[in-house]
Amino acid sequence: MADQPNGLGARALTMSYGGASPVIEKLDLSVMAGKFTALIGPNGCGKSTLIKALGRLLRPTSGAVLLNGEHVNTFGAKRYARQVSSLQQSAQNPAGLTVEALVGQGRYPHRTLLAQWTQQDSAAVDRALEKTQMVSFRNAPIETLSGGQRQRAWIAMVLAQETSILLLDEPTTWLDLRYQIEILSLLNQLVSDQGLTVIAVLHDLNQAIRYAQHLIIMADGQIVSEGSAEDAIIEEVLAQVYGIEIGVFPDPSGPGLLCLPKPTKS
Amino acid sequence: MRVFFGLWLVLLGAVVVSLCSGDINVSPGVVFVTLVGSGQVGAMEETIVNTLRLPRVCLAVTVGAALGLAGTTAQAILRNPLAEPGLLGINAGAGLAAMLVIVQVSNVHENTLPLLTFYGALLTCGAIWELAGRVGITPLRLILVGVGLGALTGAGASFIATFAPPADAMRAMIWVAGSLQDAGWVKLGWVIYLGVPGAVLVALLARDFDILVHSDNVARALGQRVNVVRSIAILAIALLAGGAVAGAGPIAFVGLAAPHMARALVGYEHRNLLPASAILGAILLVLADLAARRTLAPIQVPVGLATALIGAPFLGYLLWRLKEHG
Repeated sequence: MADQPNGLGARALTMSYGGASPVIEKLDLSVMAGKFTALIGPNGCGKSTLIKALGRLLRPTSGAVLLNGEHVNTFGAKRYARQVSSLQQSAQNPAGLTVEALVGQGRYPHRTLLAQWTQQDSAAVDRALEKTQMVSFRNAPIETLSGGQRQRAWIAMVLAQETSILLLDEPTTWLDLRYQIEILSLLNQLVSDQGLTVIAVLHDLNQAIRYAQHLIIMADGQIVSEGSAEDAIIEEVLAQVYGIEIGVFPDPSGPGLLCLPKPTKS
Repeated sequence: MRVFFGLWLVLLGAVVVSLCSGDINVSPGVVFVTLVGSGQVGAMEETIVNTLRLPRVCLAVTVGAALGLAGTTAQAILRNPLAEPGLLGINAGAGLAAMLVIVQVSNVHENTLPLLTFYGALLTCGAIWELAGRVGITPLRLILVGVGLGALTGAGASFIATFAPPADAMRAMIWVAGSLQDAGWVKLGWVIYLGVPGAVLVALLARDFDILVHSDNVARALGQRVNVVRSIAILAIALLAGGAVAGAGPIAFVGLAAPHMARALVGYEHRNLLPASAILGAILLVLADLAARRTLAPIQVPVGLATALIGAPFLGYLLWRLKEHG
């Protein structure tokens, strides 16, 4: 699978910080093109590190991240950013920055040092604002927006990069339930309508099951289970990964599954 | 943009007032005729305007603009609203060099002091980059190393001053306070030759600063080579602030305040912020110099003292505002 020349993947990827024991060890991965993949697992399992490595934000200790069969370290920084965009968690918002200015920054990898702003840049910004329904907030300073709108503005920024692959590190953390659902529906829509490939680190198992088409469960820097919800979500695996008993039931509100921690004996 | 028109106008006004006023007041008309050099003007007026006030106000404009640009750049790459070029040890390094030159060398050539102070600034800057870079550059690490090294070189300068002959120490103290007093075309040349390349560099990086202020990861994800941008920016700061210090000694507050005022006027994008900071820095320094010359006339207060006196309350205001906005 990892040798598949198309799309994004990792081969024997090992990641470590400083001289410490590796966070990820010899991981193989092939990202499903045109699907919404959720990366889940307990704190410290290496999922954030993995998504940073896929985004070329961290250098592998050994092994490789590959895009269309090419080692990502051989890409120029801007060339990679024209094909893979990644949204980082809890970015700061400088005071006075408007939605439009932020989204315009997504054009950075498409522009050369002395190039002027072009029609294509404007068109890309407009499209990104439309897709995220932020057109009416175009001139609003980011700090005046609600949490959900803010996150949509940041997603618009990475959409303005016009990449086919979008990586998101915990895009719903810090948002309340309503905004979490809003963001996940948006990502789902981008995949089904625009054919984007989306990989997102998520914390909520049930949201991952409902909104993602492909799940990857990680523990201790390894992928322990992968596939559709029915294939990947197994009670024994969850117990092993999270260290608590988690029941898996059919979702009473529709197709799919529902995970619920079992009461602990005290 | 209308804001820029207004800023240029204010700067022009400040320059004219500065050229006109002094122990002997010269009318704007005479100043104009003198500058154009066509009319019949008294020799005294001509000397006052052309050899005393003109180089001085030119030095104030260029040094102020350089400090404004350097301050905006420092705040962008250090992601800290309290950042200014002095945080990168530039003033302290230059101060130590100046102290050595003034105290140790008896007959200083006009070019020696600017050259060596600039080297002092550059050397400290390089040392900070090298020391902070050993374990991976982060804005906070740059600031901490800068503050540490600044304290060290400052202590060195004080040590030399303590054992220096009083007359030398006195001259050195005036330099360290930051002064436009014996401004001349040679000093102006230093500021321009060093500052212009620095200004070109920051102009080219304006768009990079816009995305670097978010975080390293955001900038990297957009395809920015973060450490390349940061090192070029530090080189630019060394040229701009090093040029300023070579021309006028360390001048506090302008590099800190000009970017904040500019941000309030033109917003956040660096292609507007940088030029606005430059003009505001120039305005601030011309006005501070005017105040330094005129308030206790005929005594001339070093301009660095005037900027520091205005700067301290401003700093308090800034901290108070930061606290208000969490």
